[in-house]
Amino acid sequence: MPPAGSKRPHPGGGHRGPKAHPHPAAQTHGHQPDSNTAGVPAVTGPYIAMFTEFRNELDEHHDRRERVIKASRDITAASKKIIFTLQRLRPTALSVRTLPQNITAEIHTHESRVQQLLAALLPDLQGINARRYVKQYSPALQEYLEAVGFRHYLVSGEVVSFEMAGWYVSGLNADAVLSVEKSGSSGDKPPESDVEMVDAVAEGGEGEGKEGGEIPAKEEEKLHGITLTREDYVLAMFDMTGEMMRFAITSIATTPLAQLLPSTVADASSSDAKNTGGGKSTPQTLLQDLRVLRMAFESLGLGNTPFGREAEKKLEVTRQSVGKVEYAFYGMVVRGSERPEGWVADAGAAGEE
Amino acid sequence: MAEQSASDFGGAIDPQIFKQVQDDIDEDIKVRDEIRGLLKSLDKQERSIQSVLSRVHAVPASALPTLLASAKPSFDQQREILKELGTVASKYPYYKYNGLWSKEIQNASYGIVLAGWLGAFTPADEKPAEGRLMTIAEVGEQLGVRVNVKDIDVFHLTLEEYLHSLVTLIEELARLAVNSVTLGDYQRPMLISRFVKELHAGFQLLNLKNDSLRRRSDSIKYNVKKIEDVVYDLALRKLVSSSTAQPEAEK
Repeated sequence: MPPAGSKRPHPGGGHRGPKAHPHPAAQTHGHQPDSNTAGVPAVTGPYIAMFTEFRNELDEHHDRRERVIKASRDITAASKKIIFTLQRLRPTALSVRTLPQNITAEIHTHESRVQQLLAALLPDLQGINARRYVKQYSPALQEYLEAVGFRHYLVSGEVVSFEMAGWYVSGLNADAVLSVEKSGSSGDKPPESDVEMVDAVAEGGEGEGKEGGEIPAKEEEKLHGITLTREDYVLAMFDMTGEMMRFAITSIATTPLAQLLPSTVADASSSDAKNTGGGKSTPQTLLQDLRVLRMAFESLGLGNTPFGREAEKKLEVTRQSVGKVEYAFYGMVVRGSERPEGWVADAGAAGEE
Repeated sequence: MAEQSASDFGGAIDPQIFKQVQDDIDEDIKVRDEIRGLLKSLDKQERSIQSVLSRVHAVPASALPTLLASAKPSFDQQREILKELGTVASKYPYYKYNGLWSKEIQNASYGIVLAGWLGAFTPADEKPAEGRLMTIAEVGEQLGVRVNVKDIDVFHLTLEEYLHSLVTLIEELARLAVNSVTLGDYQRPMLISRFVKELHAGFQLLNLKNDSLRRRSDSIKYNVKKIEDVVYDLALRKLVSSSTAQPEAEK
């Protein structure tokens, strides 16, 4: 037989060196070690044992990666639903620092899912693997933080801090996060949820063992939570400005004209902030806040790193978002006088949510 | 946590909220620059090693010991730089900056596996010979870096990087098979043929995902074919004794 005839490298034949272990005994990884070769004649050769070990290791890595990707996709989807829910709010319904019960209840469903998925990720993200799959899960963290940040902004008028953001996404604080949520929606409690939220967050942050879940605590005590990167935090905050823009546009369309007139705009900065402690997201404060955020982002020296380039793109989107809100105000001032007095875009629906 | 002081603007957002972010960005850029600086000198050594080793295509096997010896200073320097890189890199989570040096460490590993195949780094109790596969552990030893670390978060050579360097080795050996014939060495292609087929059999065991390693290892079969063609040409013309060619071809 001509030597070049055998294209397939040794289908089972020959060279049974002493080192060749067609079925190495050292299969300790317990993870369908030979599923791949089961149907094929045993392959032998000096490097088979070595590569079998490599295969098991790579399989473990790919499996972990797959799991992270799947969970991330679900986290992203659930987070988007939280954002949609928040966008259904009407500013008039947004009494200071409280979300209506139906909204919090709906968010609770999605957020439990997110927290559950985050917790399920942890076993794959331990030790040196903590950052190994960042690329796979960071879009999910960003999406969830966008939702958390947007809600936080609507309720408190502030940007969620990096520390608090990290607490939300760590995957260790599910119970505390969700109980914060519930306290907002529970009818029994007084609607001073902002105070409670801050307290609960502070407690949860320090002693998640106490409050952060008596049931899973034992099992998860050994696990390290997900460490939020500063990059993901910033990128999420960029995305949040897009949600603020959308919310502002809706607000402008549904706010009585009198409250949008230049004189009120000028006043709003002082009087509104004082009256509500800056918590109420009127179109005016939204615009001011968007401008402050834009300025804060613009003053960052981003650098030519992968993060820097991504942030640069998002900055451009933020600029456009601010522009859209500014233009919406302009439109109301210029054309608003043509509206009948007291006319509001969807006054009927305003009180609905 | 929610203590950001309200700004003077209408809204309550503190413009200073991203101050810490800026510090982090600056630190990150500094680290990247430091690592890149080291990678530049590492790359220089690697190219010098490659240029020495590439003379293997033009010199007879008898000249190998001298050739390998002349690469030693570069290998030594490479080890020094890697040591420095390891010190810097290990200060941070491994998977934070590993993308920066992956190519360079693949090249470094390749230099070792090629030199090792040619007979360098032979254990003291063995006679130097061509055709030896450096294991990942041996490569790590020669580079002075840890390999395939799972328990602690330090700088190391990963399994994938090592496998990449093996694919490069196969590509180089396919070229060497051709050039060996030109140099009148008809035995080396036999050795290469057997070695590459054995390695190929190993790669076929791996369940690779659709990544760069997958694409590169898909190319191994073309190199196997190329080497087989050389062996075929030699056997057909009885340039190698059938006793040598036959068992190799059977493999």
